[in-house]
Amino acid sequence: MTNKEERAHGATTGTSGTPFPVDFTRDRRARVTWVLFLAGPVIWISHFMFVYLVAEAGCTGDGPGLELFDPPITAIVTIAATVIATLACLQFARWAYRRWQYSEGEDHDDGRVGMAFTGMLLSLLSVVAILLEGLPALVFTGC
Amino acid sequence: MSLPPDPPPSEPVPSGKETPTLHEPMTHEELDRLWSDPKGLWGQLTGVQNDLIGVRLMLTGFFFLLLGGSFDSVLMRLQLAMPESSIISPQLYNELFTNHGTVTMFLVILPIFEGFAVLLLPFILGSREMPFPRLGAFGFWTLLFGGLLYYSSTLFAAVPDAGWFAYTPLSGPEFSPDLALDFWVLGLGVAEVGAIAVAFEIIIGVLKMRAPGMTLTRIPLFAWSLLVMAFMILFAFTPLIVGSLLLELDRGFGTQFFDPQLGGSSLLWQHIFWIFGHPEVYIQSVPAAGIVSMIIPVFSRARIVGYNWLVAALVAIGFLSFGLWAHHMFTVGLSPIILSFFAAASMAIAIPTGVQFFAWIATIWSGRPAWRTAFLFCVGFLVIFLIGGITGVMVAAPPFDMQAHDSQFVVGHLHYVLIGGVAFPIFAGVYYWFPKFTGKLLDERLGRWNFWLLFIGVNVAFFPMHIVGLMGMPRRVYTYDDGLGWGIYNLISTIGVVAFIVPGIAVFVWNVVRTLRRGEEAGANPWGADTLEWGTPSPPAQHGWSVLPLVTSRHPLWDQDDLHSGEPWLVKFVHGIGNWPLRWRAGVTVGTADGRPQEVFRVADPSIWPLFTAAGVLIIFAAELFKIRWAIGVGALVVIAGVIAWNWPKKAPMTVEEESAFEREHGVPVNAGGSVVIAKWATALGILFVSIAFGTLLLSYFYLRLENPQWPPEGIAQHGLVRPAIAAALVIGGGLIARWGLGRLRDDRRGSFIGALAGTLLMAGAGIVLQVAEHLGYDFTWTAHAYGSIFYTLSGFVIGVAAGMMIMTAMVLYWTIQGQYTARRHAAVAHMIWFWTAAQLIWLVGFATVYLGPRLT
Repeated sequence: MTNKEERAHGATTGTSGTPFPVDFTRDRRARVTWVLFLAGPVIWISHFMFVYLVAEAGCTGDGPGLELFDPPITAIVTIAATVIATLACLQFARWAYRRWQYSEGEDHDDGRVGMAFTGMLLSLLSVVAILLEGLPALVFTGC
Repeated sequence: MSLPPDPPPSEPVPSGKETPTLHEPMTHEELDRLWSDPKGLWGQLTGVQNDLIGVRLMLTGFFFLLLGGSFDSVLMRLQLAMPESSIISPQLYNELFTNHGTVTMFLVILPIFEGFAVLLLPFILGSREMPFPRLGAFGFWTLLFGGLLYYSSTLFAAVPDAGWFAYTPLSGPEFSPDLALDFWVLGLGVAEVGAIAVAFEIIIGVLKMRAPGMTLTRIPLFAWSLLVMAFMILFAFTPLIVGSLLLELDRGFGTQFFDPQLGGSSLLWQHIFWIFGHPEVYIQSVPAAGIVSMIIPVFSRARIVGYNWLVAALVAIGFLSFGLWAHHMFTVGLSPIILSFFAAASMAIAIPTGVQFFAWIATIWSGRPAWRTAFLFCVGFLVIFLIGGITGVMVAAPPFDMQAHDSQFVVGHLHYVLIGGVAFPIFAGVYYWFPKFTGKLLDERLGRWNFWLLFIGVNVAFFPMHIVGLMGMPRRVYTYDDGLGWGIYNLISTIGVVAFIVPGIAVFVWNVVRTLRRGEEAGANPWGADTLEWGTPSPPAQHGWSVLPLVTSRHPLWDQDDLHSGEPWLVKFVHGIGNWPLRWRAGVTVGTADGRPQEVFRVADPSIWPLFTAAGVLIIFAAELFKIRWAIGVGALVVIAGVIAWNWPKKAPMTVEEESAFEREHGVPVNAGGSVVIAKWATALGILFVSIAFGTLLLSYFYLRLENPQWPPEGIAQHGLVRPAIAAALVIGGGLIARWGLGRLRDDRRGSFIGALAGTLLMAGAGIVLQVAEHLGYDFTWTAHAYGSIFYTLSGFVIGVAAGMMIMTAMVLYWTIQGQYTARRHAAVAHMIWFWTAAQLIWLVGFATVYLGPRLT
């Protein structure tokens, strides 16, 4: 931990004790674990809210300027977002898979192998949920 | 009842080992005293210990269950038993179903699970306390006060009658002009504040306060489920609080959020309510799944199958449940593409639920079950919850739902889900953990009666509702005509409630009372269980662990010979904490992922301020209820004073040299003044809470803008941008000065820091005054049109956040002058700067929305 990082947490210890009052560096390393764990569901909810709000704007909204979202834009945006979100989830699933595979058997004491595997499952489930929600837009091109 | 003979509970666990015993050093008694709450009435009012608060929360839930859950349902079932019955009036029937739904959804299951969490987590996770004992106490008091305020409606003969979801316009000022709905909105508002407070406590408890060595993949599944539940509470209850605020503004201040005649939208209420309301169902069922995941392996004598899959399922359910809300609104006329989004999400959630089922069944399959009552309830849960889940997938399909909507079919479905899926696991949990905290085993014979009466009763009472619902019987009708063929099904349902469920609950109450008086003694680990709490004596000491356990396995009591062996420095550390310090309550935080000790800190003592602050919250809501508006200000002052007094920095009970000595010897830093880590997490969650509330208001703004063909409505000119821009520059600049000041404090230039904070107060204060003056100059009101309503509410929220920052800055300035913060210890200042950053962003986005929103055409 650099001196700057150490100061950023609002406390430093004297020279006599441990170098830092609280060692946050391990939590920082854990960030990758959390990102791979939560990426799938976060992409899913972002995709869900995005396509839903666009559909509300295009189908429910009659306020000024909302013609922009009228059909078939709603369906096109939904399909495009679905493709992007699916690819993103698959990519995260792949990263999680590699982390799981390559670290399995190694002696890690922070549970990162299990978390990577769980993250992969969550990313794959998110792919399924995203496709389930997005693909009907191929049929419902109107409102 | 002829069941296969049980293996004796003391039969060796899968590994064949004895339960390891604890080291109890000489300091055990002393620590127990140190961690006890004071005695007597004062102790009751100031107590913060997790066992006190946890048990109180659970008892509050059971109290409201008996009051609202049972009494109401029996009356309703008696009324519906026969066609054209007139035992109770239509008005009373409306009040009963409103009360039944409201109480069970807000005041029963939630406090029970939060109680489970506060009581059990420190033992399950191997820590001594929850991170914020005072916040837990505050949560309990607000939940209790909120429930009582809501229930006091009966004293005023103004009982809410608009259903547990209080749909507008029925719940609005036009159709519910008396106080009844205000009791609903405001009483529950107080309870919602409490629910969120305890959620903070649970999140940080699970992530930061665990036994050394308990990595993320060694956390017991119940703790994982509580973590998911707590995040869901934060994301679901916050929008509800904002929704309740808007509804109360409509009712009490004449705004027009939900009046379509004047630019509002009654569907806006449904959206906000169900963004809370659907996750709420999963908020209840996720911890229930956690309990089942703890109990099934223990009584199956087998390790849980698919731990990682179950964690994934819990997290997936937590997320997916936020994409289902509009399946309650399939019949309001949403466009087909929107219906398809919500139908798909509603069906997708069956995937993780199915994964859970297979994992549980596989665990039972791989073991040799001992059919104890707790296990029976888990198996009953599997059967009933499965049926409820399948009818759930049925109503997730819009064409089917259009037929079943608002019929008794839905009542049958939701009771299978909530009784099978939630109440059964609660009973299982009580049978399972009761011996731990009382030292006595609940009677097994009565337990079987308890289970079978409830299992049969639930099916007899609720299965016929599916049939009669498909025959066309609507829900929420107080009677029905003879000759429709519905009578026999209703009679069977009533028999199920009166002849089976009520006696079943009575047997349970009797079992508890009888066991408390003369129950069989339970040892430390009567079930041969695998998780840490069973390593402590029954009942456990106040502080739980004198020497903290060291965890090297997911099933420590099955796999470890000794709970205090491990890496030498950790062994030395946990023994060190067992002997030192003995003058203040020491807790340990660990790394989120790896569970290695990060900090020793002082856990808060008993205090009267949580009760005082909760009383302030109650005053605010009650004053609005009875329209004594000046008292809202009094309540706000009480809350502000309470929070300041609560957080008043206390002199650390030991010197820096003493702290350093422990650090040198054990390699873990000590913060006797209070935790740096926990405060950091609480700050982040506080910012998240404010952001969710702000996000809900933004979505409301855009929803109203969507619904209105003209924005702003006729007669309101576009606003000038110059003065708001200057105000924004002042507020944002003020925050930046505080940030600059933090750097000076770190360089030990306290004088410059004090000057910077004074500058912040002046500059940001001027910005706030300028913005308020700008508002006072506008000639449109919040009552004429929804545009004005959302304009002033959103602006008011943003200004309120900035005003809160002014108070926080003033207090930090005062404490700095008092010499509280130094270059070495100033975590509170760093966290205030985080808050400032959030407040600056909220100001920028909020005013950009209200001023630029009308210009986007």
